[in-house]
Amino acid sequence: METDEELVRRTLSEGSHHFGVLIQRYADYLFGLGMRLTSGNKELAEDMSQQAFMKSYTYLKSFDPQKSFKHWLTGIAVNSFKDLIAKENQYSSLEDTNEPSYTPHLEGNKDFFTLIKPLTKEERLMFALRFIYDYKIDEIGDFLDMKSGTVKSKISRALEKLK
Amino acid sequence: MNEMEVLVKKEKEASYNQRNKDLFTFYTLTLIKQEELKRRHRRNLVFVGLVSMTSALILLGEVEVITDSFLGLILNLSIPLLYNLFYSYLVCLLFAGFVVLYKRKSLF
Repeated sequence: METDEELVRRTLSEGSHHFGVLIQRYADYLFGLGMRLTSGNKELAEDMSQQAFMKSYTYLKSFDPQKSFKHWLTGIAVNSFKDLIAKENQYSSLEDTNEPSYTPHLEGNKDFFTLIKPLTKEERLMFALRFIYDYKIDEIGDFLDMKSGTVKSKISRALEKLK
Repeated sequence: MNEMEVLVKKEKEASYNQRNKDLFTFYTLTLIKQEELKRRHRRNLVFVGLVSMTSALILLGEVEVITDSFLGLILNLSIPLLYNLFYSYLVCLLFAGFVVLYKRKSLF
């Protein structure tokens, strides 16, 4: 089995068809991350993972083979989620009509999603990365372009909300 | 272990699967290729635009020089040519005159 780094190198030198193997390899991982970040919104999770793959392909040249591809991809997925939130906020501010809104199809561990419901989207993101994926505070800070202290205080605020 | 820890542990163990991985991969790769083509097309357009703008600027800046040199070329070529034509015509006329005169003498 080819390593991620080898596939990245072959994608860059031989073409995008090698990237398909990487998509197959990480599709479930990114979809799971998307489900957790969107509280079980399947469509949004799929959108997020697709955006992440497309962005990662665009910026593939900037990938450092000394680091883990999964880690790098997670960072891109986190930023795609932030973009989706920004887009969603932009549209929701325009939606002042009386038409019935779209109800997303929610799936997954409903108890967990109910637990994190009181959190803001950013807090949900940090909570999932810290406690579900076991990322370190520094790593979360890197993903979100934030100082470790800020991440730490936001996570403790989120935990306070959940108590 | 409190309720939150139990739920987090349960969520950690949960696995999520993409509906149709092959279709998802194919669709994502198609979108990637489409984006790539769009980017290449845009790059080509920018290149053609820059080349045509540069050549247009050069042509507009040098238009006077170009017309001058073009007219100069025409004049340089046409004046000696006209002179030659006129001179040849005169020579022909003189020659014809001599012939006519000579013939008249031989007739009478």
